[in-house]
Amino acid sequence: MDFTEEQIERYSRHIILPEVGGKGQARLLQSKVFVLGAGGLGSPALMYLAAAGVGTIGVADGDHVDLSNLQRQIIHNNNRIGVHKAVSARKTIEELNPDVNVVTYEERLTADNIREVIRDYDVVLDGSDNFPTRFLMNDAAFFEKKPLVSGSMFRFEGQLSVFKGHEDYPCYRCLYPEPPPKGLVPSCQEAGVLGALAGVIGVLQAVETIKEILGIGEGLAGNLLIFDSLKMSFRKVKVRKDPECALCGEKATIKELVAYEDAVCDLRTATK
Amino acid sequence: MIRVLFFGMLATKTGTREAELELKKQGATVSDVLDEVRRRFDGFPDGPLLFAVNEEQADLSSPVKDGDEVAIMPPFSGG
Repeated sequence: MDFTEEQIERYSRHIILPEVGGKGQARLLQSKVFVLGAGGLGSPALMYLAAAGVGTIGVADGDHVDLSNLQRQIIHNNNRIGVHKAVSARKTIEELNPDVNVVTYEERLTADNIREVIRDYDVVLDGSDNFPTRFLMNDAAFFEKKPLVSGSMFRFEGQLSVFKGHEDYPCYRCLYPEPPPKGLVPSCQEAGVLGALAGVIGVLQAVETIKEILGIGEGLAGNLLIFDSLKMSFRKVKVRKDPECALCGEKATIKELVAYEDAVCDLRTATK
Repeated sequence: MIRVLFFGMLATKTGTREAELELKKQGATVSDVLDEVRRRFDGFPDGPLLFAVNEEQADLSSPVKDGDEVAIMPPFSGG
């Protein structure tokens, strides 16, 4: 593809990197990334993906911007309170980089529509805030054979991995076969979360997504990265594909998407 | 001694991020570590837990020996 003068200048710091170059930048501009949740993790991830020139970004969120979001959800601002999060995210991205085509999904993603929604994308990124959605996203990514860049948080700690159950790598269910019973793991709303932690984990999700698109370096697939902001420590745990995984194992029993909606009292598509 | 690490709400529930255990038994496994943890910390949650011995994913039947580090990690949901 031919770059415009403006694009050559905008992406010059990428193009100068031998690992990216003009070819890699062109690949980014042609790539499509789906981001579930324009919340704590989605905000920084979306902004860096947009700045990097990912050509098409899908943003799904069923919520509206709330004042309590602004402590960490930096893609939104005071003037956007009450605005649909996907719409607010699109505004910020459009101001950041007009090269990006933003597709918003303001409806709730369910077992009925999520596979179709992610089908067109190259990489999917999970920044959702509840287990039913995390399992739905994992299963949908597996069935659609998409790499899933997954991030999650609890208070001062974060987890990050890339799941590729359709290849010789684990999926989320290889680590956690089923969602925990309701009430066992508190949400951010119940437990609190350090705002800047969302920046660390969300930006790492963007980094892994960009590496995945460019095919450079060593991806996190097969590893779970755990960040503890209080200790300022990163641990990388080797995780493996479970041959008995109900989704991606040899004798898989999950053949279609499972809706766990009834397991939670407060299901939202994405982050609050 | 076996060093046990608690993450997320496990650290909240136990009130500590790590503990040291002595397992007298020969041929001890992650399951024995978990039993000992449950004995020591009341109300240790059941939920789905991920185990790692020396930073490699393990299951309940994985062997654990003196000097090993066992991490117990719950899933996080926050985004």
